Order: sequence, then C-alpha cells, then structure tokens
Amino acid sequence: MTGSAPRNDGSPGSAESAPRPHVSSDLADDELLRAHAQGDPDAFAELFHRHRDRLWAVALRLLADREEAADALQDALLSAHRAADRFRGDSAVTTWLHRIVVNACLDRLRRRQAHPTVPLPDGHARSDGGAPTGGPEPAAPAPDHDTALVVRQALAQLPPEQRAALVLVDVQGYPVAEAAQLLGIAEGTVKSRCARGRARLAVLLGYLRPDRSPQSRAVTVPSVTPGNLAARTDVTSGSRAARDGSEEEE
Amino acid sequence: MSAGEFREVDHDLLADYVGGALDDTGEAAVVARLIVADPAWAAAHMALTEATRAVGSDLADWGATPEPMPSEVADRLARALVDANLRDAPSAAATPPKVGLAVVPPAPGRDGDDNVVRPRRGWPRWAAPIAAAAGMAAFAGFGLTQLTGGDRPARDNSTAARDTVGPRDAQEDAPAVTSARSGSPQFARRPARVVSSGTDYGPGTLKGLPDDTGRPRYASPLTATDAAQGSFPAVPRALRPLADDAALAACLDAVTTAHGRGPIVVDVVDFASFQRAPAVVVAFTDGTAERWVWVAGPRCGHPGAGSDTRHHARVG
Repeated sequence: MTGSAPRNDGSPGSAESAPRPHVSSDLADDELLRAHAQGDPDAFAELFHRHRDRLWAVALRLLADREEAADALQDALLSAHRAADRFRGDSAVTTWLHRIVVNACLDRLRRRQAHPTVPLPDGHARSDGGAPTGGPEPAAPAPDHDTALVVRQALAQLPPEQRAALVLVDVQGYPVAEAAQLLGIAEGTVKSRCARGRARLAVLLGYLRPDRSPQSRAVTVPSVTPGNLAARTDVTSGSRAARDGSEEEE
Repeated sequence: MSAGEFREVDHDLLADYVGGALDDTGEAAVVARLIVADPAWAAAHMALTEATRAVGSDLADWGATPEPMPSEVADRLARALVDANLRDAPSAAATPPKVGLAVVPPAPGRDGDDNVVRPRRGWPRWAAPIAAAAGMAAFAGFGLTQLTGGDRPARDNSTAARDTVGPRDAQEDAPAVTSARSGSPQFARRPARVVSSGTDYGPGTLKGLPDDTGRPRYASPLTATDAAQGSFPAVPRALRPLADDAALAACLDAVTTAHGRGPIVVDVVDFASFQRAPAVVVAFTDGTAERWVWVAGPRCGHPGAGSDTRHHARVG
C-alpha cells in the first residue's frame, strides 16, 4: 500500500478561472522559487499554479472541510511565500511545499482536538462534541458516493498523525519515504502509523469486529490503540535521518 | 522477547507486523514465530491482513477520485498571493527581473523612480522587451564583457566590478538566496568569462582552462540572447540555478572562502562537468599570484554547502 507515485488529483480544466502567471513554464520548481526569492512577482504564482491541485487534495482530505482546507492552504502558501529564501534545496520544492501544507493542516487538526469543533455537512462548524461528520462534500463527486463518505467519516475519527500518514500514503499515493520527509518522521514511524491506522479503520469500516465473539468475522483486533504519537524507538527502518531538512519547514 | 512470552495477541504489534513497520527488526521474526505457533495469533493475523487489504483498497479508491481545486478557492489563493507580493514588495523592488521570467511592466502608479520596479496588482498579461533587456544585463554581467569587448582581465576591481555584475542595487540588496553571506563578496569582481564548454574535465585536464592571457578558449560563451531568453542549452540542468548572477556570486564567495588565501580574481567560470558529474569549474588567481582551478558541485554557494568542492588544483 505504498504507491509508487503520488496520484494526480487535478483534472483538466480545474480552477481555470484563475489567471495563469506569465512566467516561463520551462523553469524548474527550484528556479521558480529562487526567482521568487529574488523578487520576481510571478514566479511563486506559477509554482502555486503548478501544484495547487495536489496541495488542495492533501489539505482537503486531511481536514475534511473545504473552508478549513482553503484557510490552511492559504496560511501555508503565505508562509512558503515569505520563507522562500530559507529553502535550502535539501528536498524538492514540491516536497517542501507539501510539508508546509501538511504541517498547517496538522496544526489545525490538533487545535480541533484540543477544542473540539467538527464541521457540519453544510460547511459550518459546531462545537457540541457530536460525532464527526467529515464535513461538506468535495467539489468533485466520488464515483461511489457512499463509500467515499464513509471512508471520510472513519478517517476523521483517527488521531491526526495516523490520518496524515494514511492520507499521504494510502490515499494520495506518496511513497513511504516521501511521506516520511513530508511529516518529518522516520519511515518506520510512517509505516507504523499507517498500519495501526488501517487496523483502526478496519474496525470503523466493519472489516473487523471490535470484540472477540466467536461468530465475529475477525477474531481479534479489538484494542488497537488510538494512536502512536511517539515514534517507535525499536523500529529500525534505516531512515532515522528522516528529520533532516525539517528546519526548512515554516 | 521470545515467542513464549506471548499469550494474548498484541494487536498493535501485529498491525505493525502486517504493515511492514517491523521489517528488518528482530521483532518481525518473533511475531512470525507466534503466528505459526499460536492459533490466536494466526487467526488474528489472517483477519487483520484481509481487513487491512480491504481498507487499503477503499482508501486507494477514494484517492483515485480527482480532487481539483475549485475555481473559487484558486481565485482566492491567487489574490492572497498577489496581496502578499504587494506586502513583500521591498525585495522585489530592489531586484531586477530575472532571466527567463516575465518582466514587470511599469506599474500605473509608479512614483517616478526609474530604477525601481513596483509589483503590480493582478496578474501579468504581457512582458516588456525593454525591461527584459535590463533584466538580462544583470545575469549576463560576467559573460557580456567578453562579448562586448573581450577586455583583458583587470586587477582593478572597482569600476569593472560594478559594470559587469549588474546594477549596484542588485548587489547591495542581495536577494534572499545570498542573504546568508557575510559582508561583501570576497572574490574580486572583474570581467570574468562565463562559458559553457561542454567539456568533461578530469584531474588531468584542468590545465586546459584558459591561459593567463585571458583569451577565450571556448566557442560557446553564454550570450546575451541566451540570458535574455532564459535558454542555456549547454548548461547542465543541475547547474542552471547557478547561472543566476547572485547564485554564482555566492558560489564564488564560497570558493574564495574554501581556498582560504584572501580575495581571488576569477578568470573563467565554466558550466561543465567533472568526471561526468555536473560541475562549475572556476579558474582564478589568488593573492599570491598562483593560478588555481576549483571544481564545485551544483550546491556551491548554498548555505551550509560551502563550495561543494569536488576537486581543486594549482595550475600555475
């Protein structure tokens, strides 16, 4: 379940109402970022244009709320806009951008946990502590509307760290190594968060019964812990250095 | 830990095992033995494997659904970036337009300062050829002198330096990528040739760099047209970021620092390769009149990367 390449979330014609900046589309991402840092007023907009659909998909699927995703993305883009001169080139520009977006989303998820407010299907939030609904529908209708809705609702019940790992790896298709870079954690921790998140989702989605009843289709897995917030120190995947470059984060 | 220690299924551990988080650890073997030896572990493993496969499939199906950014969100974010450009105008205003990028036309509200380009509201619709020429000059400073007169390297680094590196504003208000540099560049700014020879150098061929007459040996200096159009066909892609004047200046500073003998006078910069790896080959004369060739990698001048030295040798 570690996709070989991130999925393309864009579709032709999406968001075409936004004017495209007039900079050379031949320039590589790092050249655009450098140009922006050196004062070119269009370079960052070209970067945004280039990556916006994938960034949007990550934010929306992490936060499950359009308005909040837009807010997080705006915060992240403005941070990146300001911090471009601190980009050292240790990772790809797109990785750097995604990391800033993921961090902005995680901040919001953690705040949401600390002060529970859950989005309603109409896009408004409530603070009554009710069950998460997963927020409003995405812009594009899913082929299997019910499945997508159920999956979103189940994901919303996971701890932010597990949700982020699963969204990046299983939903967006990022390789584990890249997800580790984005999250600033070791690859083994990404695998662990994904594994435990899947197990928990399996219960939430009904693939496993949360009890030990003999007739249960699943004999076990009743007690998958809510989260594994701390990195496993005993998991050695050879990527202890995954935090390298995290200082580029905003 | 041994297999005998387990009587109840450790579901977190089992999930880690199924998800590959225990790969290459001793625990993986322990869990594997438990699955073989203990029916409870075996049943749990089978169920979890099947269930997580189904979960993975659901998540992948969901992920396969395109999620393009809605136009209203794209518009909102684009406006926010335009506003941010206006707020962050100082760095943009002091820096000439960069090679290969759209050039900022005079903004309607400019205040008469011809040397300052204001960021404009809204998206650019066109590029200004006149401004393009000005922007090009900033980049091509190193190479242009060769094209426009081929003047012999001068030890005086005052006037020539200002003329060849670009507008003074661009140097003094160095853009962010060079802001980490301390003080003024240490290499003596003077007409140096920037070329892209396509040569793959090795330790034994570095002396093939230019002789002390300063005559160019290469037929493919970076031209003004190249710079203006942002096309550097002969420059290895990995080195293209260094074809920017500020980045190159940072690199040359790093080389100067690495050399450690005070200011240097750069004779030639060749965007080439060294032992088949993209490299900037810099020929210079140091304060003791020794001639050196320094081979730097693509990260030359990056903060923390120093000169990214691949090789260096005295050649004269």
